Amino acid sequence: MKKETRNGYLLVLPLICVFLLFTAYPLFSGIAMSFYNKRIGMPGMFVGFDNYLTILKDSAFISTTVNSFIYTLSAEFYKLILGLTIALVLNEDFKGRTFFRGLFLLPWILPTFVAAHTWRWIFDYNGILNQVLKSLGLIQQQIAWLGDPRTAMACIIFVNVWKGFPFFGLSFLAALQTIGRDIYEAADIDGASWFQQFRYITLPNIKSIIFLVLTLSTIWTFNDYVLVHILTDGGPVQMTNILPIYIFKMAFVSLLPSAAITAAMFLVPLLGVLIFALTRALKTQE
Amino acid sequence: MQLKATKKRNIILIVIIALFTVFTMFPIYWMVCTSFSSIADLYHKQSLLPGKLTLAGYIGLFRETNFRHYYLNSLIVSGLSTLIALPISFLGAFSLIRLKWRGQNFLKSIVLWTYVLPEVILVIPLYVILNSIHLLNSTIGLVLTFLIGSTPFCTWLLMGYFQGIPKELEDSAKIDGCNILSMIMRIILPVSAPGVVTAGIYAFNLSWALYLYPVVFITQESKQLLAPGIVMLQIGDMFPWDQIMAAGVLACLIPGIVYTIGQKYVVQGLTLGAVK
Repeated sequence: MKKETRNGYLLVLPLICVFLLFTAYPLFSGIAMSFYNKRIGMPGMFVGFDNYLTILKDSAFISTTVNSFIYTLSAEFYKLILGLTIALVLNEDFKGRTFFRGLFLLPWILPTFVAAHTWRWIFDYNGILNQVLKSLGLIQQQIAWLGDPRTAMACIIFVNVWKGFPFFGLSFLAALQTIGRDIYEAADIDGASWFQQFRYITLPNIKSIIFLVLTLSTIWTFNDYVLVHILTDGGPVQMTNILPIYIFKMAFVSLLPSAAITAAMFLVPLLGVLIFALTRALKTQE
Repeated sequence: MQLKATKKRNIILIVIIALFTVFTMFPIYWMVCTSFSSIADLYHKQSLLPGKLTLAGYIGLFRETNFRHYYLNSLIVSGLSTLIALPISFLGAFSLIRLKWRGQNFLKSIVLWTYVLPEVILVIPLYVILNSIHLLNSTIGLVLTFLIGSTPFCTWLLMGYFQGIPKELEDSAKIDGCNILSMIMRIILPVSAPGVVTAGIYAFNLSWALYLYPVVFITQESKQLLAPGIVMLQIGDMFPWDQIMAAGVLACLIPGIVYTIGQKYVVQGLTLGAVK
Protein backbone atom coordinates (compact mmCIF):
# COMPACT_ATOMS: atom_id res chain seq x y z
CA MET A 1 0.00 0.00 0.00
CA LYS A 2 1.20 3.50 -0.75
CA LYS A 3 2.41 5.43 2.28
CA GLU A 4 -0.07 8.27 1.77
CA THR A 5 -2.97 5.84 1.51
CA ARG A 6 -1.88 4.01 4.64
CA ASN A 7 -1.51 7.26 6.58
CA GLY A 8 -4.88 8.43 5.28
CA TYR A 9 -6.71 5.40 6.59
CA LEU A 10 -4.79 5.46 9.86
CA LEU A 11 -5.70 9.08 10.65
CA VAL A 12 -9.35 8.68 9.77
CA LEU A 13 -9.75 5.40 11.67
CA PRO A 14 -10.95 6.91 14.99
CA LEU A 15 -13.56 8.94 13.09
CA ILE A 16 -14.78 5.80 11.32
CA CYS A 17 -15.00 3.97 14.66
CA VAL A 18 -17.13 6.74 16.21
CA PHE A 19 -19.34 6.70 13.15
CA LEU A 20 -19.76 2.92 13.03
CA LEU A 21 -20.31 2.39 16.76
CA PHE A 22 -22.43 5.37 17.70
CA THR A 23 -24.30 6.23 14.53
CA ALA A 24 -24.41 3.39 11.99
CA TYR A 25 -24.99 0.62 14.51
CA PRO A 26 -27.86 2.36 16.37
CA LEU A 27 -29.36 3.52 13.08
CA PHE A 28 -29.43 0.03 11.58
CA SER A 29 -30.62 -1.61 14.78
CA GLY A 30 -33.36 1.03 14.78
CA ILE A 31 -34.35 0.09 11.25
CA ALA A 32 -34.40 -3.57 12.33
CA MET A 33 -36.52 -2.69 15.38
CA SER A 34 -39.19 -1.18 13.17
CA PHE A 35 -39.89 -4.70 11.82
CA TYR A 36 -40.34 -6.27 15.28
CA ASN A 37 -42.98 -5.76 17.94
CA LYS A 38 -40.42 -5.11 20.66
CA ARG A 39 -41.46 -3.81 24.05
CA ILE A 40 -39.08 -2.57 26.76
CA GLY A 41 -37.56 -5.59 28.53
CA MET A 42 -38.97 -8.15 26.11
CA PRO A 43 -37.61 -9.49 22.83
CA GLY A 44 -40.08 -9.03 19.99
CA MET A 45 -41.35 -11.09 17.11
CA PHE A 46 -40.80 -10.31 13.44
CA VAL A 47 -43.93 -8.60 12.14
CA GLY A 48 -42.87 -7.33 8.70
CA PHE A 49 -44.48 -4.04 7.76
CA ASP A 50 -47.22 -4.25 10.43
CA ASN A 51 -45.75 -1.35 12.45
CA TYR A 52 -45.70 0.85 9.37
CA LEU A 53 -49.35 0.07 8.55
CA THR A 54 -50.40 0.70 12.15
CA ILE A 55 -48.65 4.07 12.23
CA LEU A 56 -50.14 5.15 8.92
CA LYS A 57 -53.62 4.34 10.26
CA ASP A 58 -53.02 6.33 13.44
CA SER A 59 -54.92 9.60 13.04
CA ALA A 60 -52.68 11.22 15.68
CA PHE A 61 -49.65 10.48 13.49
CA ILE A 62 -51.28 12.16 10.50
CA SER A 63 -52.30 15.28 12.42
CA THR A 64 -48.86 15.42 14.03
CA THR A 65 -47.22 15.31 10.61
CA VAL A 66 -49.46 18.14 9.42
CA ASN A 67 -48.54 20.16 12.54
CA SER A 68 -44.85 19.53 11.88
CA PHE A 69 -45.17 20.96 8.38
CA ILE A 70 -47.18 23.99 9.53
CA TYR A 71 -44.66 24.69 12.30
CA THR A 72 -41.57 24.26 10.11
CA LEU A 73 -42.79 26.04 6.98
CA SER A 74 -44.14 29.07 8.87
CA ALA A 75 -41.04 29.36 11.02
CA GLU A 76 -38.76 29.18 7.96
CA PHE A 77 -40.82 31.81 6.16
CA TYR A 78 -40.58 34.35 9.00
CA LYS A 79 -36.92 33.61 9.67
CA LEU A 80 -36.20 34.25 6.00
CA ILE A 81 -38.00 37.62 6.05
CA LEU A 82 -36.42 38.77 9.33
CA GLY A 83 -33.00 37.42 8.37
CA LEU A 84 -33.05 39.23 5.03
CA THR A 85 -34.19 42.47 6.65
CA ILE A 86 -31.50 42.48 9.30
CA ALA A 87 -28.81 41.47 6.81
CA LEU A 88 -29.72 44.34 4.48
CA VAL A 89 -29.75 46.79 7.40
CA LEU A 90 -26.40 45.62 8.78
CA ASN A 91 -24.90 45.82 5.31
CA GLU A 92 -25.42 49.60 5.34
CA ASP A 93 -22.66 51.84 6.64
CA PHE A 94 -23.33 53.26 10.08
CA LYS A 95 -21.64 53.65 13.43
CA GLY A 96 -21.94 50.72 15.83
CA ARG A 97 -22.58 48.17 13.10
CA THR A 98 -20.25 45.58 14.65
CA PHE A 99 -21.90 46.11 18.04
CA PHE A 100 -25.37 45.38 16.67
CA ARG A 101 -24.07 42.42 14.70
CA GLY A 102 -22.93 40.90 18.00
CA LEU A 103 -26.15 41.89 19.75
CA PHE A 104 -28.41 40.26 17.20
CA LEU A 105 -26.40 37.05 17.42
CA LEU A 106 -27.39 36.54 21.07
CA PRO A 107 -30.62 34.54 20.58
CA TRP A 108 -28.68 32.10 18.42
CA ILE A 109 -25.95 31.68 21.05
CA LEU A 110 -28.39 31.23 23.93
CA PRO A 111 -28.89 27.51 24.67
CA THR A 112 -32.31 26.45 23.34
CA PHE A 113 -33.49 25.18 26.70
CA VAL A 114 -32.77 28.54 28.33
CA ALA A 115 -34.61 30.44 25.59
CA ALA A 116 -37.58 28.09 25.91
CA HIS A 117 -37.91 28.59 29.68
CA THR A 118 -37.62 32.36 29.34
CA TRP A 119 -40.35 32.54 26.72
CA ARG A 120 -42.52 30.19 28.73
CA TRP A 121 -42.30 32.65 31.61
CA ILE A 122 -43.09 35.61 29.35
CA PHE A 123 -46.15 33.82 27.92
CA ASP A 124 -47.24 32.59 31.37
CA TYR A 125 -50.79 33.31 32.54
CA ASN A 126 -49.29 35.60 35.21
CA GLY A 127 -46.42 36.60 32.94
CA ILE A 128 -45.26 39.98 31.72
CA LEU A 129 -46.97 39.82 28.33
CA ASN A 130 -50.41 39.62 29.93
CA GLN A 131 -49.47 42.29 32.48
CA VAL A 132 -48.37 44.72 29.79
CA LEU A 133 -51.33 44.08 27.49
CA LYS A 134 -53.72 44.47 30.40
CA SER A 135 -52.24 47.71 31.65
CA LEU A 136 -52.36 49.07 28.11
CA GLY A 137 -56.04 48.12 28.04
CA LEU A 138 -55.57 45.87 25.01
CA ILE A 139 -57.03 42.84 26.78
CA GLN A 140 -59.53 42.55 29.62
CA GLN A 141 -58.80 38.98 30.66
CA GLN A 142 -55.39 37.34 30.90
CA ILE A 143 -54.72 34.85 28.10
CA ALA A 144 -53.06 31.46 28.60
CA TRP A 145 -50.97 31.96 25.47
CA LEU A 146 -49.39 28.50 25.49
CA GLY A 147 -52.51 26.76 26.84
CA ASP A 148 -55.02 28.18 24.38
CA PRO A 149 -55.52 26.09 21.22
CA ARG A 150 -55.90 29.29 19.20
CA THR A 151 -52.57 30.85 20.18
CA ALA A 152 -50.23 27.96 21.11
CA MET A 153 -48.99 27.17 17.59
CA ALA A 154 -48.33 30.84 16.84
CA CYS A 155 -46.33 31.10 20.08
CA ILE A 156 -44.01 28.17 19.36
CA ILE A 157 -43.42 29.45 15.83
CA PHE A 158 -42.65 32.88 17.28
CA VAL A 159 -40.06 31.50 19.68
CA ASN A 160 -38.44 29.38 16.97
CA VAL A 161 -38.18 32.48 14.76
CA TRP A 162 -36.68 34.50 17.63
CA LYS A 163 -34.07 31.81 18.23
CA GLY A 164 -33.23 31.12 14.60
CA PHE A 165 -33.33 34.41 12.68
CA PRO A 166 -29.76 35.48 13.61
CA PHE A 167 -28.33 32.46 11.79
CA PHE A 168 -30.20 33.56 8.67
CA GLY A 169 -29.26 37.21 9.11
CA LEU A 170 -25.55 36.73 9.69
CA SER A 171 -25.12 34.12 6.98
CA PHE A 172 -26.86 36.44 4.48
CA LEU A 173 -24.77 39.37 5.69
CA ALA A 174 -21.55 37.44 5.01
CA ALA A 175 -22.74 36.83 1.45
CA LEU A 176 -23.86 40.45 0.97
CA GLN A 177 -20.44 41.72 1.94
CA THR A 178 -18.84 39.89 -0.97
CA ILE A 179 -20.87 41.95 -3.48
CA GLY A 180 -18.84 44.92 -4.72
CA ARG A 181 -20.14 48.45 -4.03
CA ASP A 182 -19.35 49.56 -7.57
CA ILE A 183 -22.18 47.47 -9.03
CA TYR A 184 -24.68 49.41 -6.91
CA GLU A 185 -23.06 52.72 -7.81
CA ALA A 186 -23.36 51.89 -11.49
CA ALA A 187 -27.00 50.93 -10.97
CA ASP A 188 -27.62 54.22 -9.15
CA ILE A 189 -26.23 56.18 -12.11
CA ASP A 190 -28.48 54.21 -14.44
CA GLY A 191 -31.41 55.26 -12.26
CA ALA A 192 -32.35 51.82 -10.97
CA SER A 193 -34.74 51.94 -7.99
CA TRP A 194 -33.94 50.32 -4.64
CA PHE A 195 -36.25 47.45 -5.41
CA GLN A 196 -34.76 46.89 -8.85
CA GLN A 197 -31.28 46.80 -7.34
CA PHE A 198 -32.46 44.30 -4.76
CA ARG A 199 -34.19 42.15 -7.36
CA TYR A 200 -31.46 42.14 -10.01
CA ILE A 201 -28.22 42.56 -8.06
CA THR A 202 -28.65 41.50 -4.43
CA LEU A 203 -30.96 38.53 -4.76
CA PRO A 204 -29.07 36.66 -7.51
CA ASN A 205 -25.85 37.05 -5.52
CA ILE A 206 -27.21 35.58 -2.30
CA LYS A 207 -29.61 33.06 -3.86
CA SER A 208 -27.41 30.06 -3.18
CA ILE A 209 -26.72 30.95 0.46
CA ILE A 210 -30.46 31.49 1.02
CA PHE A 211 -31.12 28.02 -0.31
CA LEU A 212 -28.36 26.53 1.84
CA VAL A 213 -29.44 28.22 5.07
CA LEU A 214 -33.10 27.38 4.45
CA THR A 215 -32.29 23.70 3.93
CA LEU A 216 -30.14 23.43 7.06
CA SER A 217 -32.65 25.30 9.18
CA THR A 218 -35.54 23.21 7.88
CA ILE A 219 -33.74 20.05 8.97
CA TRP A 220 -33.12 21.48 12.45
CA THR A 221 -36.62 22.89 12.93
CA PHE A 222 -38.42 19.80 11.71
CA ASN A 223 -36.46 17.55 14.06
CA ASP A 224 -36.13 19.76 17.12
CA TYR A 225 -37.63 18.38 20.28
CA VAL A 226 -36.56 20.56 23.19
CA LEU A 227 -38.12 23.93 22.31
CA VAL A 228 -41.65 22.64 21.85
CA HIS A 229 -41.27 20.13 24.68
CA ILE A 230 -40.54 22.87 27.21
CA LEU A 231 -43.06 25.38 25.85
CA THR A 232 -46.15 23.21 25.34
CA ASP A 233 -45.07 19.55 25.17
CA GLY A 234 -47.46 19.11 22.26
CA GLY A 235 -50.49 20.57 24.03
CA PRO A 236 -53.12 21.95 24.31
CA VAL A 237 -55.25 19.13 22.87
CA GLN A 238 -52.41 18.06 20.52
CA MET A 239 -52.47 21.46 18.79
CA THR A 240 -48.68 21.76 18.83
CA ASN A 241 -47.89 18.07 18.76
CA ILE A 242 -45.04 17.69 16.27
CA LEU A 243 -43.28 14.50 15.15
CA PRO A 244 -40.33 14.52 17.60
CA ILE A 245 -42.75 14.93 20.54
CA TYR A 246 -45.01 12.20 19.18
CA ILE A 247 -42.06 9.81 18.77
CA PHE A 248 -40.67 10.55 22.22
CA LYS A 249 -43.99 10.01 23.97
CA MET A 250 -44.67 6.83 22.02
CA ALA A 251 -41.30 5.41 23.10
CA PHE A 252 -40.90 6.61 26.66
CA VAL A 253 -44.43 7.33 27.90
CA SER A 254 -46.51 4.72 26.08
CA LEU A 255 -43.47 2.38 26.13
CA LEU A 256 -43.90 1.24 22.54
CA PRO A 257 -40.34 1.54 21.17
CA SER A 258 -41.04 -0.35 17.96
CA ALA A 259 -43.97 1.85 17.03
CA ALA A 260 -41.93 4.93 17.94
CA ILE A 261 -38.89 3.98 15.87
CA THR A 262 -41.22 3.19 12.97
CA ALA A 263 -42.67 6.69 13.20
CA ALA A 264 -39.10 8.03 13.30
CA MET A 265 -38.33 6.11 10.08
CA PHE A 266 -40.80 8.34 8.27
CA LEU A 267 -38.35 11.19 8.94
CA VAL A 268 -35.59 9.47 6.96
CA PRO A 269 -36.89 9.93 3.38
CA LEU A 270 -37.64 13.59 4.09
CA LEU A 271 -34.18 14.00 5.57
CA GLY A 272 -32.75 12.30 2.48
CA VAL A 273 -34.40 14.82 0.16
CA LEU A 274 -33.15 17.73 2.29
CA ILE A 275 -29.61 16.38 2.49
CA PHE A 276 -29.59 15.88 -1.27
CA ALA A 277 -30.61 19.53 -1.59
CA LEU A 278 -27.97 20.50 0.94
CA THR A 279 -25.20 18.69 -0.95
CA ARG A 280 -26.19 20.47 -4.13
CA ALA A 281 -26.30 23.81 -2.33
CA LEU A 282 -22.83 23.22 -0.95
CA LYS A 283 -21.52 22.39 -4.43
CA THR A 284 -22.81 25.68 -5.84
CA GLN A 285 -21.23 27.50 -2.89
CA GLU A 286 -17.82 26.22 -3.92
CA MET B 1 -33.70 66.03 -2.83
CA GLN B 2 -30.59 63.93 -2.27
CA LEU B 3 -30.39 65.10 1.33
CA LYS B 4 -34.03 64.26 1.96
CA ALA B 5 -33.49 60.73 0.66
CA THR B 6 -30.51 60.18 2.99
CA LYS B 7 -32.54 61.45 5.93
CA LYS B 8 -35.39 59.11 5.07
CA ARG B 9 -32.96 56.21 4.81
CA ASN B 10 -31.47 57.00 8.20
CA ILE B 11 -34.86 57.12 9.89
CA ILE B 12 -35.84 53.76 8.40
CA LEU B 13 -32.52 52.26 9.54
CA ILE B 14 -32.89 53.58 13.09
CA VAL B 15 -36.47 52.33 13.40
CA ILE B 16 -35.59 48.84 12.18
CA ILE B 17 -32.51 48.60 14.41
CA ALA B 18 -34.53 49.77 17.42
CA LEU B 19 -37.31 47.24 16.76
CA PHE B 20 -34.83 44.39 16.37
CA THR B 21 -32.97 45.42 19.51
CA VAL B 22 -36.15 45.27 21.59
CA PHE B 23 -37.16 42.01 19.94
CA THR B 24 -33.84 40.24 20.59
CA MET B 25 -32.94 41.78 23.92
CA PHE B 26 -36.22 41.81 25.81
CA PRO B 27 -36.33 38.09 26.76
CA ILE B 28 -32.69 38.19 27.84
CA TYR B 29 -33.31 41.34 29.90
CA TRP B 30 -36.41 39.77 31.39
CA MET B 31 -34.60 36.57 32.33
CA VAL B 32 -31.87 38.50 34.17
CA CYS B 33 -34.43 40.82 35.75
CA THR B 34 -36.58 37.93 37.01
CA SER B 35 -33.60 36.07 38.40
CA PHE B 36 -32.91 39.00 40.77
CA SER B 37 -36.54 39.50 41.82
CA SER B 38 -38.39 37.95 44.71
CA ILE B 39 -41.09 35.46 43.79
CA ALA B 40 -43.73 37.45 45.71
CA ASP B 41 -43.01 40.55 43.63
CA LEU B 42 -43.26 38.55 40.43
CA TYR B 43 -46.80 37.47 41.10
CA HIS B 44 -48.10 40.75 42.52
CA LYS B 45 -46.70 44.04 41.33
CA GLN B 46 -44.91 43.04 38.17
CA SER B 47 -43.51 45.86 36.07
CA LEU B 48 -41.07 46.13 33.20
CA LEU B 49 -38.51 47.75 35.45
CA PRO B 50 -36.72 45.73 38.10
CA GLY B 51 -38.17 46.13 41.59
CA LYS B 52 -36.24 45.41 44.76
CA LEU B 53 -33.24 43.29 43.83
CA THR B 54 -32.57 40.10 45.73
CA LEU B 55 -30.34 37.06 45.42
CA ALA B 56 -33.04 34.78 46.85
CA GLY B 57 -33.46 32.93 43.56
CA TYR B 58 -29.78 32.12 43.31
CA ILE B 59 -29.45 31.20 46.99
CA GLY B 60 -32.52 28.96 46.85
CA LEU B 61 -31.18 27.32 43.73
CA PHE B 62 -28.01 26.20 45.51
CA ARG B 63 -29.53 25.49 48.94
CA GLU B 64 -32.80 23.79 48.05
CA THR B 65 -32.18 22.02 44.75
CA ASN B 66 -29.74 19.68 43.06
CA PHE B 67 -28.70 22.45 40.69
CA ARG B 68 -25.01 22.38 41.63
CA HIS B 69 -24.86 18.67 40.75
CA TYR B 70 -26.52 19.28 37.39
CA TYR B 71 -24.10 22.10 36.65
CA LEU B 72 -21.00 20.14 37.57
CA ASN B 73 -22.20 17.07 35.66
CA SER B 74 -22.80 19.19 32.55
CA LEU B 75 -19.35 20.71 32.80
CA ILE B 76 -17.74 17.28 33.07
CA VAL B 77 -19.72 15.62 30.28
CA SER B 78 -19.50 18.53 27.81
CA GLY B 79 -15.83 19.10 28.58
CA LEU B 80 -14.78 15.47 28.25
CA SER B 81 -16.83 14.96 25.13
CA THR B 82 -15.27 18.03 23.47
CA LEU B 83 -11.76 16.93 24.42
CA ILE B 84 -12.37 13.54 22.81
CA ALA B 85 -14.14 14.92 19.74
CA LEU B 86 -11.42 17.44 18.86
CA PRO B 87 -8.42 15.15 18.14
CA ILE B 88 -10.64 12.61 16.35
CA SER B 89 -12.09 15.32 14.11
CA PHE B 90 -8.78 17.07 13.61
CA LEU B 91 -6.98 13.97 12.33
CA GLY B 92 -10.02 12.83 10.35
CA ALA B 93 -10.52 16.20 8.67
CA PHE B 94 -6.83 16.44 7.80
CA SER B 95 -6.89 13.01 6.21
CA LEU B 96 -10.11 13.73 4.31
CA ILE B 97 -8.84 16.99 2.83
CA ARG B 98 -5.09 16.52 2.47
CA LEU B 99 -4.45 12.85 1.79
CA LYS B 100 -5.72 10.79 -1.12
CA TRP B 101 -7.32 7.43 -0.52
CA ARG B 102 -10.17 5.39 -1.86
CA GLY B 103 -13.61 5.95 -0.34
CA GLN B 104 -12.94 9.43 1.00
CA ASN B 105 -15.72 11.07 -0.98
CA PHE B 106 -18.15 8.57 0.47
CA LEU B 107 -16.92 9.33 3.99
CA LYS B 108 -17.22 13.07 3.36
CA SER B 109 -20.92 12.68 2.60
CA ILE B 110 -21.30 10.44 5.65
CA VAL B 111 -19.89 13.25 7.79
CA LEU B 112 -22.60 15.58 6.49
CA TRP B 113 -25.30 12.96 7.01
CA THR B 114 -24.35 12.24 10.60
CA TYR B 115 -24.09 15.96 11.35
CA VAL B 116 -27.75 16.54 10.45
CA LEU B 117 -29.12 13.18 11.60
CA PRO B 118 -31.77 13.98 14.24
CA GLU B 119 -31.30 12.77 17.81
CA VAL B 120 -34.89 11.63 17.89
CA ILE B 121 -34.13 8.85 15.38
CA LEU B 122 -31.12 7.56 17.33
CA VAL B 123 -32.32 7.98 20.90
CA ILE B 124 -34.52 4.85 21.00
CA PRO B 125 -31.99 2.29 19.68
CA LEU B 126 -29.27 3.99 21.76
CA TYR B 127 -31.38 3.50 24.86
CA VAL B 128 -31.74 -0.21 24.09
CA ILE B 129 -27.99 -0.55 23.42
CA LEU B 130 -26.88 1.40 26.51
CA ASN B 131 -29.32 -0.61 28.61
CA SER B 132 -27.88 -3.90 27.39
CA ILE B 133 -24.27 -2.87 28.14
CA HIS B 134 -25.22 -1.27 31.49
CA LEU B 135 -24.24 2.26 30.52
CA LEU B 136 -27.49 3.98 31.47
CA ASN B 137 -27.00 6.46 34.32
CA SER B 138 -23.29 6.70 33.56
CA THR B 139 -21.03 9.58 32.65
CA ILE B 140 -19.18 7.43 30.09
CA GLY B 141 -22.43 6.57 28.32
CA LEU B 142 -23.28 10.26 28.01
CA VAL B 143 -19.81 11.35 26.91
CA LEU B 144 -19.82 8.72 24.17
CA THR B 145 -23.31 9.55 22.89
CA PHE B 146 -22.47 13.27 22.90
CA LEU B 147 -19.75 12.46 20.34
CA ILE B 148 -22.47 11.58 17.82
CA GLY B 149 -23.22 15.21 17.07
CA SER B 150 -19.99 16.98 17.97
CA THR B 151 -17.55 14.80 16.02
CA PRO B 152 -19.10 15.22 12.55
CA PHE B 153 -19.68 18.92 13.22
CA CYS B 154 -16.04 19.54 14.20
CA THR B 155 -14.83 17.44 11.29
CA TRP B 156 -17.00 19.44 8.91
CA LEU B 157 -15.77 22.74 10.26
CA LEU B 158 -12.11 21.70 10.22
CA MET B 159 -12.43 20.32 6.69
CA GLY B 160 -13.43 23.81 5.63
CA TYR B 161 -10.55 25.23 7.57
CA PHE B 162 -7.91 22.94 6.05
CA GLN B 163 -9.05 23.90 2.56
CA GLY B 164 -7.92 27.43 3.35
CA ILE B 165 -4.37 26.53 4.44
CA PRO B 166 -1.65 26.48 1.76
CA LYS B 167 -0.34 23.03 0.99
CA GLU B 168 3.30 24.13 0.59
CA LEU B 169 3.79 23.91 4.36
CA GLU B 170 3.42 20.16 4.34
CA ASP B 171 5.52 19.68 1.24
CA SER B 172 8.51 21.33 2.90
CA ALA B 173 8.01 19.07 5.90
CA LYS B 174 7.86 16.01 3.66
CA ILE B 175 11.22 16.85 2.16
CA ASP B 176 12.62 17.11 5.66
CA GLY B 177 11.51 13.51 6.13
CA CYS B 178 9.19 14.03 9.10
CA ASN B 179 6.80 11.20 9.86
CA ILE B 180 3.15 12.10 9.44
CA LEU B 181 2.16 12.47 13.10
CA SER B 182 5.07 14.67 14.09
CA MET B 183 4.55 16.70 10.90
CA ILE B 184 0.91 17.29 11.90
CA MET B 185 1.77 18.17 15.46
CA ARG B 186 4.68 20.48 14.58
CA ILE B 187 3.44 22.18 11.43
CA ILE B 188 -0.29 21.74 10.87
CA LEU B 189 -1.57 22.13 14.43
CA PRO B 190 0.03 25.56 15.08
CA VAL B 191 -1.34 27.12 11.89
CA SER B 192 -4.79 25.61 12.34
CA ALA B 193 -5.12 26.56 16.00
CA PRO B 194 -7.88 29.15 15.35
CA GLY B 195 -9.92 26.50 13.53
CA VAL B 196 -9.46 24.06 16.39
CA VAL B 197 -10.52 26.73 18.91
CA THR B 198 -13.65 27.50 16.88
CA ALA B 199 -14.50 23.81 16.62
CA GLY B 200 -13.96 23.40 20.35
CA ILE B 201 -16.25 26.33 21.20
CA TYR B 202 -19.03 25.01 19.02
CA ALA B 203 -18.61 21.41 20.17
CA PHE B 204 -18.76 22.44 23.82
CA ASN B 205 -21.83 24.60 23.39
CA LEU B 206 -23.54 21.97 21.26
CA SER B 207 -23.02 19.45 24.06
CA TRP B 208 -23.99 21.94 26.76
CA ALA B 209 -27.43 22.38 25.19
CA LEU B 210 -28.17 18.69 24.49
CA TYR B 211 -31.42 17.65 26.11
CA LEU B 212 -32.80 14.46 24.65
CA TYR B 213 -29.92 12.09 25.46
CA PRO B 214 -29.53 12.96 29.16
CA VAL B 215 -33.26 13.08 29.79
CA VAL B 216 -33.58 9.52 28.48
CA PHE B 217 -30.30 7.94 29.57
CA ILE B 218 -30.16 9.39 33.10
CA THR B 219 -32.80 8.51 35.66
CA GLN B 220 -30.85 9.14 38.88
CA GLU B 221 -31.44 12.73 39.87
CA SER B 222 -27.95 13.40 41.23
CA LYS B 223 -26.44 12.34 37.88
CA GLN B 224 -28.68 14.52 35.75
CA LEU B 225 -27.34 17.32 33.52
CA LEU B 226 -28.28 20.97 33.41
CA ALA B 227 -30.73 21.06 30.50
CA PRO B 228 -33.15 18.42 31.86
CA GLY B 229 -32.30 19.55 35.41
CA ILE B 230 -33.88 22.98 34.98
CA VAL B 231 -37.18 21.36 34.02
CA MET B 232 -37.04 19.49 37.34
CA LEU B 233 -36.97 22.75 39.30
CA GLN B 234 -40.69 22.90 38.65
CA ILE B 235 -42.53 21.23 41.53
CA GLY B 236 -45.92 19.98 40.39
CA ASP B 237 -47.83 23.05 39.27
CA MET B 238 -45.47 25.36 41.15
CA PHE B 239 -43.05 27.34 39.03
CA PRO B 240 -40.30 28.99 41.11
CA TRP B 241 -39.62 31.42 38.25
CA ASP B 242 -36.94 33.31 40.18
CA GLN B 243 -34.96 30.08 40.55
CA ILE B 244 -35.66 28.88 37.00
CA MET B 245 -34.47 32.19 35.51
CA ALA B 246 -31.44 32.25 37.84
CA ALA B 247 -30.61 28.77 36.54
CA GLY B 248 -31.02 30.12 33.00
CA VAL B 249 -28.61 32.98 33.64
CA LEU B 250 -26.05 30.60 35.14
CA ALA B 251 -26.56 28.20 32.22
CA CYS B 252 -25.58 31.03 29.85
CA LEU B 253 -22.52 31.89 31.87
CA ILE B 254 -20.25 29.13 30.59
CA PRO B 255 -21.19 29.47 26.89
CA GLY B 256 -20.90 33.24 27.40
CA ILE B 257 -17.35 32.96 28.73
CA VAL B 258 -16.40 30.46 26.05
CA TYR B 259 -17.75 32.71 23.28
CA THR B 260 -16.09 35.81 24.71
CA ILE B 261 -12.71 34.09 24.77
CA GLY B 262 -13.08 32.93 21.19
CA GLN B 263 -15.11 35.95 20.03
CA LYS B 264 -13.19 36.75 16.91
CA TYR B 265 -13.50 33.18 15.66
CA VAL B 266 -17.18 32.73 16.36
CA VAL B 267 -18.73 34.77 13.56
CA GLN B 268 -16.10 33.43 11.19
CA GLY B 269 -16.99 29.90 12.33
CA LEU B 270 -20.70 30.48 11.85
CA THR B 271 -20.23 31.24 8.19
CA LEU B 272 -17.50 28.65 7.76
CA GLY B 273 -19.77 25.97 9.16
CA ALA B 274 -22.54 27.02 6.85
CA VAL B 275 -20.69 27.81 3.68
CA LYS B 276 -17.91 25.28 3.36
